Amino acid sequence: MLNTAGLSLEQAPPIGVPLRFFLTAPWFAAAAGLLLAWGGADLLVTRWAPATLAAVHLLGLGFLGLVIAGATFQLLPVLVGAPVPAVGLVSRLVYGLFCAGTATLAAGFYVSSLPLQLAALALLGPGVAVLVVATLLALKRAKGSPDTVQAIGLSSLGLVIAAVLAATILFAFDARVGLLSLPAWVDLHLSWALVGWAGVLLVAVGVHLVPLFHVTPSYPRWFRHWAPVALFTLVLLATLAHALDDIVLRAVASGAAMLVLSAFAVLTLRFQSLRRRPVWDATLSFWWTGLGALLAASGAWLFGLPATVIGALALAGAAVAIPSGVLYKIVPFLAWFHLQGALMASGRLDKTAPHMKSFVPDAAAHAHFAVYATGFGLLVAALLGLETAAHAAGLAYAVASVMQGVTLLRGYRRYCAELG
Amino acid sequence: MEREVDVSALEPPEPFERILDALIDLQNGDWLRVRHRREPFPLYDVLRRGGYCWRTERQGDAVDILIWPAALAPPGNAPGPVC
Repeated sequence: MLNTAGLSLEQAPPIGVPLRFFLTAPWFAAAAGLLLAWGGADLLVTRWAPATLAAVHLLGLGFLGLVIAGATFQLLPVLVGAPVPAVGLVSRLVYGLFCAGTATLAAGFYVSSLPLQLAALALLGPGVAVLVVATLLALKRAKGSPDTVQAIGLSSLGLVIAAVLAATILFAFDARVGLLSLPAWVDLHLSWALVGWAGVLLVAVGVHLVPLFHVTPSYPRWFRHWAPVALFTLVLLATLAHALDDIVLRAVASGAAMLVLSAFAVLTLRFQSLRRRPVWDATLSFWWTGLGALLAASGAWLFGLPATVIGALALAGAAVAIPSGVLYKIVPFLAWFHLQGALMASGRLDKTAPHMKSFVPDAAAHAHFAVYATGFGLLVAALLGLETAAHAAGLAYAVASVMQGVTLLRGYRRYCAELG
Repeated sequence: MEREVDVSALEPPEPFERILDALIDLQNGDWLRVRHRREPFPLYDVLRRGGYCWRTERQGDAVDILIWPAALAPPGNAPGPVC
């Protein structure tokens, strides 16, 4: 179970470490929204369109990647009792390399410039390496939760494989070799990035965060232990099937991976509906939309719908909504936690930090969700054939992301003001 | 006299806030029983710094924490206090 001993005030990284990532992530999503607003349905026709590739990486690396990296630095001490070594320096390096690398990569895709894409690789490669090495060093010193240690280790390996596949694809492009099998290589890169890295981490961390923050029943022990391992193994099996050119094995492995993710979605929806205090908040709206999108993406895969539909549901749906739900719990909690720590350090036990909700007001979070949900609805309408909705969907995504960025920034400013 | 606060259905950080409020309101000679769903490790830092002793009892999935000022004798001769 969760090693809450690691939540001690002394072990937590400085608040600037995770917030640097969390406060920047929405602006990458806003850029992706602007690309869709500008290009409209052209982005949804094929995943090979330059603007589509740019938008996908702005969401996958810029939004999701930054949130995952920030959460890793924050949660490693909490989940496994092991802080990341030299966390200040390491987090700055990862932040700089990820931000610069993602921006360069998106620009490289947008203008179809291979030199720019290779330059992005030179930034993102070291960024991934620093993040993974720091994570593995922390895991080596972990004090408990062997299931979580194993799952975070596996997801780190998933990130490395996704990055190596990306590099292989770019180098093949540069050398103009092996381009005929490009779609299969890209599929593998996508599988490792979305399932082997983000999916494994979502399940491994979600089984702890959901019961803690939503006061729900615990996930079954067998699921906590086996689900992340099964996901990783199935992606590995799909990769092996690709190497052996075994279409049936690849379909079975991919389907089973979708089944594990769907089981996580169904269990989470079930447990969140059983939470001990049935108060609805924006966090739950985001979680339920994200989990619904995850189930819809699995269904779309099962029924053989186009890759753009599956990708849009998984990325613009699950990979944006679920982290948004997590951010609205974690950011105010961190502000409260560090303020309370500062009060205690000054010996003020008679004074408590302002309520968590004062850092991210409910109204702002609900308003963000309303605009986001509108954007997601319009995107689904565009995918279903209402092409004119794509521009409006992009605009709504951009506005929603700006609202999120501003809301989180205001929360941080409130923290600074309280700190004096 | 024993005071009681049940925080077992609250989301973080409300349990922490409720417990601190209850400790501030504690009268001379009183002690506090906290009913929680998990062991509140971050709270122990605060209790130690604030001059309190505590004893934690696990009852199935529930956790009871008995808290009293270090200057007082343990309520009911609570064994194994941590201060």
